[in-house]
Amino acid sequence: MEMDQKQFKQEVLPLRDELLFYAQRMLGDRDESEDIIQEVLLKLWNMREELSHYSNVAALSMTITKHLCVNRLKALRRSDEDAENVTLASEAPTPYCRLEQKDSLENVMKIIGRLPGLQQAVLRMKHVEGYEVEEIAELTGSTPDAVRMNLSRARRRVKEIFFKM
Amino acid sequence: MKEDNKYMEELLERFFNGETSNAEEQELYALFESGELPEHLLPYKPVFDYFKSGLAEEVESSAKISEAIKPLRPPGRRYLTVLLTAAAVILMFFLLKPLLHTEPDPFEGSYIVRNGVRIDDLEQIRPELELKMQTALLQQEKANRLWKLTNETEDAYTTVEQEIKATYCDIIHRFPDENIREEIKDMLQIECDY
Repeated sequence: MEMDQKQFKQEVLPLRDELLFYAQRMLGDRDESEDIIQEVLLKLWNMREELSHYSNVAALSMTITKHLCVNRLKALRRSDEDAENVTLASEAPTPYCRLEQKDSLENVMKIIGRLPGLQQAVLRMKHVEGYEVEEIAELTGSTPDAVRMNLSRARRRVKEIFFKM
Repeated sequence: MKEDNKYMEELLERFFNGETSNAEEQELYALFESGELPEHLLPYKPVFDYFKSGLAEEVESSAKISEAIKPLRPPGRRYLTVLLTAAAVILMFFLLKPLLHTEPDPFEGSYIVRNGVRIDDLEQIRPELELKMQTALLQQEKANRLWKLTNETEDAYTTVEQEIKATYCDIIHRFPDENIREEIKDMLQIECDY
């Protein structure tokens, strides 16, 4: 049975504070945690058709939050390492790279798939499901400004990908 | 025309700031479709084609793929398995509990035949069985004592035998001729250490 917006707001949204608290304890950063929770709630909204299969939605959302936080921490560690090992390789794509990129254009998620999870989720809400920013903010319990910022980042990123092609 | 361009650029700016409403976005798509684009906006055409429909196509085809590779068992089924496994474990526990936790009755299945009648009632014959058991235990203890005694006697015998052998060897050793010594050993059928 599919969950509607009202039901989602009643059953899932109240978990937000607890999830945010958990994310903040793991990441130690308020803004990053807010982004993680926005992504968690959008993921839950995207799987609203299957939510009734899960006996404990709170536990599910906690698990998703934990996974996203762990991924985020891994990414942060990786970027730290990258900063230490400065690469001397040329930025320009090699002919082989170009071929590979052209090849990967045939793949399904060729553009949106290159964006971070939250940006993917926001784009999907706006351009596939057709929600207004205010509606997305309501569903995720965030401010419209926070949603707008992620939407803006996502759109600019897509533009960059197109301009680099 | 100039006014139009200005409006479009403003929309464009707001679009990338995430500030446009769905209606304004439709307007923007329509402007890009109309074809009369100033040159500096031409590179944006594929970008807006993507936002208008390409993005949705990507998401939909990826959804189709993930649908196809979805695990066969819906999550609900897994809970059923876990539940059934738990139930089986609990059932096994209760079935095996008597075997695990109670001492088996040593007289279980015993009976006494008296005057050709077999008596199976354990409570009736228990005192008699216990008496018999006590007797049997006492006899076993007695047998053990006897066994120990026999062993002790045997040990004493071995000691004496050793002593005799040592005495013989001592005497043999006094003979100066080696051939005679060997002959005596053969006759007495003993081995000496020297």
